[in-house]
Amino acid sequence: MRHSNRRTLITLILAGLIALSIGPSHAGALDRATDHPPRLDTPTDLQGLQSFRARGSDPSPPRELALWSFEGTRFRRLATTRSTSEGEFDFGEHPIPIGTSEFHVVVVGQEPDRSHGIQIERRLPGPIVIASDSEPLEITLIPALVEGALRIYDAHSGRLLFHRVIDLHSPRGQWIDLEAEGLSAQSDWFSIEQILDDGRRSRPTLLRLPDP
Amino acid sequence: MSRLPLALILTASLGCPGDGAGGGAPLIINHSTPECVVFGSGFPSGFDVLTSDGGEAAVAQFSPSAVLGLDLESEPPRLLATQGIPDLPEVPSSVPNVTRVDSDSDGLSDGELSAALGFRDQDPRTGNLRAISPEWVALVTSGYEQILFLNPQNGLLRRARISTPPATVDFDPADWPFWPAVASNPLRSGFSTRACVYATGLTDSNGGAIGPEPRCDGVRDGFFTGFTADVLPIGDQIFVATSNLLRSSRAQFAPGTVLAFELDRSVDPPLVRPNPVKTIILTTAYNPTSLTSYTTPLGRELLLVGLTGSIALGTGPDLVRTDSAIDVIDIATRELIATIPLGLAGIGFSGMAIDPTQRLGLLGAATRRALFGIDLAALDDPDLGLGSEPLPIRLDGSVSGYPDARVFEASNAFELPKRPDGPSDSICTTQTSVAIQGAGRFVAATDYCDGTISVLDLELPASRSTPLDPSRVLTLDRVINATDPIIDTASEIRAIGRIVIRPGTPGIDFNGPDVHFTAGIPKGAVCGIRIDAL
Repeated sequence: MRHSNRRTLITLILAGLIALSIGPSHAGALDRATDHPPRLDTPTDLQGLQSFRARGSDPSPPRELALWSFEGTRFRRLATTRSTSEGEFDFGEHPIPIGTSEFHVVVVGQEPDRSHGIQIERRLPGPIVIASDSEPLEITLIPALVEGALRIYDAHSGRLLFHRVIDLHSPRGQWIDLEAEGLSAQSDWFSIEQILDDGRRSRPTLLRLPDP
Repeated sequence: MSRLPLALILTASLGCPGDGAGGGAPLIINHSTPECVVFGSGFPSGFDVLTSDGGEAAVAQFSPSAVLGLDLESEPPRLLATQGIPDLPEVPSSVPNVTRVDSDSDGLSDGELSAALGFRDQDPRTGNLRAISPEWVALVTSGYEQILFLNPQNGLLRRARISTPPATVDFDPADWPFWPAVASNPLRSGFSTRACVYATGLTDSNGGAIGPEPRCDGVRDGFFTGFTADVLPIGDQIFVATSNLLRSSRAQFAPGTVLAFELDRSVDPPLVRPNPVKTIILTTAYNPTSLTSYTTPLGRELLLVGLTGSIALGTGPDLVRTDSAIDVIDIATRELIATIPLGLAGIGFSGMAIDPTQRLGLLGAATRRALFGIDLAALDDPDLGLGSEPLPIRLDGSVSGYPDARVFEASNAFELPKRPDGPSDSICTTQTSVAIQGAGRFVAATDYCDGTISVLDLELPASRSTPLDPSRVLTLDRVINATDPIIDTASEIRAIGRIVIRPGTPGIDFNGPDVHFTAGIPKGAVCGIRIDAL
């Protein structure tokens, strides 16, 4: 009995502390957040843009909101803002990373979840080719992301000619001698792409060798 | 008791759902260290502060090419733009239904214009950038060799009037094929850094003789500039370094060059033209990669050219093939007055950090875990290079009557510590960059492979005439594991590049992080971290 009373007392103290720490207004806000979550507008027509406007509507304004990105296995907080009394919020412009990006808005203090997010897809750009004028058969390929592999195809036939896993430790790009690799003997026009570990492929980069 | 600390205590004692420790729930990062803004592709190619308080900066995104202005006070940094940042504009190409980049706003595809003028068909690839004002940056591009003007506040191109001077003894318009006709002065958003260089006795970095270049006059020995490396606007001039790589596999470079342009900001739009006198300056060593301005205590303005030397491809030791040096150019006369040889150092690409007393210049390294440094007091003599002695004067103690400016050179570098769990040097050849806090409170040096920032104490003598003791100037205070190292099991942001330190006192002059750096893996990022700030 004594033990039971002590447990009850501890429970009551803990409950009181939690109530104190959260407060009635905050608890109400959490309820409202759950019932009426803020929603990001899905951006339209992002063609040719490097950034998007993270804004949307909040059915229970005004309140503090946080913008999160979901990056594969984790959420990362990007910004906070306050919704207006008219029920709008605007986190401003944010970069569009390559690949599939997820963005979520939740009330500050709440953990983000993936139930009300938006997805933005940005296709991987083709590898960038760097070559000097004096040696056209030696190229350095700089992939948009340091991941996966580089592939070179004969642009005439589509035949795969070359495959190399990207070296994570090489900040100056992936150097390839088209002659030494036997590529220049097989074609004068190449399509180069990056393939990521998850199978996604970049846009092709076309490389035409100059006339000998 | 405040509610927030109590809530934090309770949350901590009750466990943290979603921390990813016990199951498949995602990890939630509220305030990570560092806090990063992540953008397009990997490896940002340039980074510079825009404002004197260090609160704004611009970063160059490599692919797709773009310049992003950032508010560094925010955690993580936020874009300055209030509208969508556009890609570089495109125009119809010669291939039906295919558009190509036209970055310089001449109405022609950059790559196709290149090919038409006898160069390789290449689009512009972004490199370093420098701020001219908070609304104007000069961005290096190579492939299509030029300096591009953009507004980092919105990412849009800016235009200037581009003017080709009439021929002089030093300048022939025919040697600048991408420039417009004399007196046409069109509006452009970039200006070309392709030019013919002539000199007798030219040799490449492997010792081979350089003969006439058919695309130049075809008679005199020479070469075309290429691989534009850095730009530095100083007052009414813009200087550009071109590294002139000939062949990567052989680490073969033509002599390095610095190009001089005039910038007239008294007119609107501003006007840019090649300086018709002493337009091109040949450097003493190969592969100029950075430009730094320095004003002596008596007010003489100098341009310090960081010459990395030839570096071979690959990883591991012994990649440096030719000597590094710092060349000293008098900005008023554009005369190369002195050079500071540094041996086989392989100095880094990020430019020189200068302490607030203007005594010590520090440089990172391109292939090793070290810093290099010079004593700027060696440049104090107002008559340096104005006498009858042959120029440039070597400031390595070998010329009688002239000081030795070397503090940390190839054989006496300041070695930085290796991270125990970092990758081995045989698989990851590191690069370092360095910054000095504006009041000289500390030095921060990055390590590309290890993901560390070494915090160093700086101790300089009170008197400018007291020689610098390399064993006392820098001491290691601590090492911060700022990011993951570049190892196969890493998943977080890593591959640190350039670093900047905000001037002023944290908590008084600003509230955000005091140190920002770029990172390249898994995606490009700019990250803030607190070193001196709480």
